[in-house]
Order: sequence, then C-alpha cells, then structure tokens
Amino acid sequence: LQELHNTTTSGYHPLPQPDEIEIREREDAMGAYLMMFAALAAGLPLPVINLIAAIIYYFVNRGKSRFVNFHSLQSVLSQLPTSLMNAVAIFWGIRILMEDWEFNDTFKGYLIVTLIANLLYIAFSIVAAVRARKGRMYYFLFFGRIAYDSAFRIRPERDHSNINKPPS
Amino acid sequence: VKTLRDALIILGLFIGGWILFSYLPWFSEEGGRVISVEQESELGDLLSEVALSDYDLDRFEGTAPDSALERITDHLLESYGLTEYDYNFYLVQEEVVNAFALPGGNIVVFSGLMDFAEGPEEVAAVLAHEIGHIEQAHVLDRLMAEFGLTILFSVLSGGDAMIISELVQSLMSSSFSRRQEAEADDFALNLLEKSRINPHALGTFFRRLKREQGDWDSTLEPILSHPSLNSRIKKSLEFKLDPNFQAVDFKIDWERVREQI
Repeated sequence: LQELHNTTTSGYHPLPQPDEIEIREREDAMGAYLMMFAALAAGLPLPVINLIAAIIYYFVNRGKSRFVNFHSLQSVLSQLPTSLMNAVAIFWGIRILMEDWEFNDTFKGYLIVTLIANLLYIAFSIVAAVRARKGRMYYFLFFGRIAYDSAFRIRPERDHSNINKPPS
Repeated sequence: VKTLRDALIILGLFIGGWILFSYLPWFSEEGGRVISVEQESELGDLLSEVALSDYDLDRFEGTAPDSALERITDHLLESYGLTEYDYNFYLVQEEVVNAFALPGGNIVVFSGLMDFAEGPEEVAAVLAHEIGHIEQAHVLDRLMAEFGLTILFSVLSGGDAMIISELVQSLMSSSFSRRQEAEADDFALNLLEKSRINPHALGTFFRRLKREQGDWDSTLEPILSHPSLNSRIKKSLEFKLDPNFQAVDFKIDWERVREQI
C-alpha cells in the first residue's frame, strides 16, 4: 500500500488520512491557527510580534509530523500578507496623525482592503483550525501549495529516516 | 505554475480592491446639496444677526478700518467673478485675531485681525481663505454634520433663538476638518494670485500668528484634526507665482487704519 501511495503522488510523501493522525498531532495543527489570534491581539500595535510568535511555533512544531508541519507553515505564510498590510496601515496612519500626511481616499481604500484581508484571514484560519482538528488537510489559495510542497515533498538529502543502518 | 497563478490572483485582488475602494465615493463630506443657496443665505442672515447681538459685537461702521476692509473685499470678489452668494463682511470690535464664516456668504472679521495684519494683503489672504470655506460649502457641511437637516429646516421655518445661538456657538468654537482647511487654503492661494495679491501673505500671516501666539495649539494639532500650521505655511510660501505676476497696490494707509482700531 505504501508503495502505491508513493507512485500516485510521485515525489511527495503520502498524505496521512484522518484515522492515521493522533489526537495530539491534530491539536498541535489546530493550535497553529488558534495561537495566531492570541498573538494577533497581543501584538496589535506592532504586527511583528505575532509574526515572531508564529515563526517560533512553526520551528518548535514542525518536527512533530508532516501534518503538523504543513498546518503550522500554512498558518505562518498566510499571515505574512495581512501582517504586512496592517503594519503599513499603522505607519501610514501615524504619518497622517503626526506628520500631516493627507487623509485621502487612497488611504481610506487601503484601510478597507486591509480590513477585508484581515476578516478573510480570520475566517479561513477558523475553518482551517476546525479541519486540522478533524485530521483533515485544508489548502489556502497559494499558501496551501507552498506549505504542502515544503512539508510533503520527498527530499532525500534531508530524509533522516534511515540514518541508522545495520552493521556492514 | 499553479502557485504563480494563485499568487497573481491574490495580488490582483489586493490591487483591484485597493483601486476600487479608493475611487468609490465613500463617506464624502460634500453630499448632495439639500439646502438651496437662497435658504443658506436666509440661514446666514439669521445667524449673523444673532452672532452680532449675542456676543455684543460692536460694528465698525463708517471708519477707516471699515472702508479699508470694504476695499479689500470688493477687490477680492471682483477678481473672483461670478458667485452665487451675496457677501457681507462684518468688522466688529474684538481684540482676538480671528475671522469666521457664517452660512450664505456672511463673514465676521474681528478688529484684532486687522490690527495684527501687517498690510491689506494679509487681511485679504485670510478673507480669501474664509471665502473658500463658503464657496466650497464647508460651513453648511459642518452645520449639517453637527445638527442635521431637520434642525436646519426648523430654524428656517422660524426656529427659536436658543437653537440659532447654538448654531453660532458651534461655528465659532469648533473647527473645520483638515481636508476642508486644506481646500480653503488652496482656494485662497489661487484667488489671491488671480487678485494680483502675493499668495505668500497667507504664509507670512500664519507664521507671525504662530510665533506670537505661541505653540500651544500646534502640540495638540495631531489630535485635533487641524492641519498643522507648519505645512500650511510651507504650502503658501512655496506657491509658484506666474513670472509676470504684478502685485496690486491697495493704496491704503495701513498705519492709519491700525491707529483707529
């Protein structure tokens, strides 16, 4: 069966099915999305903080399993654009307040787009968290592919699964 | 390839959304004109009457400062050309350096402003700014935003004196939005050039006002939505004049005007 998996998704490790994933893994995967909300709230004035938290979470958890690796990487990647947009919005806003930049329609439009992006990010993260808890994969547009590629692609040079060998 | 396509979709949504929301006429401050110019003038007459009597403002009539002001304003309005409003300028005895616009082309000028100005050009600059607020319907917009249409109509159909005082009070104390101030400045600079008055007068006036009245309000500016005086001064002083610009001479003995204040 293992062989079959390998040939159907050539170059990638087989995807674990829900019944193969332990509760512990599912919860770690779900945590990757939920942790972001806490960090987002804590880091509100400085959006860098939640980014740092996300990156730490990813590096701590990615070794646990490919499933957890995928979800935590997807979580990190998907919040990059919104964090960046929020940071720009905040610094732009500060400039308007302190240095008398113009509060124009371009900024209003930007704020609305940023708001929508944040709402989308939150909505998709909740869906992804629920799916992860159920042991399911859930692919975001763009970020899903990258995370899948990073977590499941077979890389012989990084594959440590048969480092231990019998005596020659 | 699909990853690239997905990235382009996200980027496209972002840029498309930004452009869309930037060009949609959002909570624009103008809105439609629901009060006609006639009604605005009527409202303005009521308000200026109350403003003069409530605050015990004595008018300077038939004096040198009054005729100087008339000369300046006539010149400005003549250069401006057609306007829907019938302008009235009230010069009143009050030391504060101030001038404020009431609806319908009524502008109250404090004598302190005439005294503080170093020449008719600076008075013209401030008045051009106030005319800008009226021509761009800022005064009406502010009243609409603060009191709403119902109250304004009730005043027009014979509202009580309390409400009118309330309206005057609000126009005298609260300020225009940052955008409205910037618009009125732009209007003033262009009108000044058209009137053959050096637009830098607006900047020099603000600069002296800032220097002499201290900085107490400029520290609050970021919080209040008032545009920083500095950038307004800069804009005025950097106004590019036509190379053939020739300043008009008001032929007003300014020292004599000031003496009588």
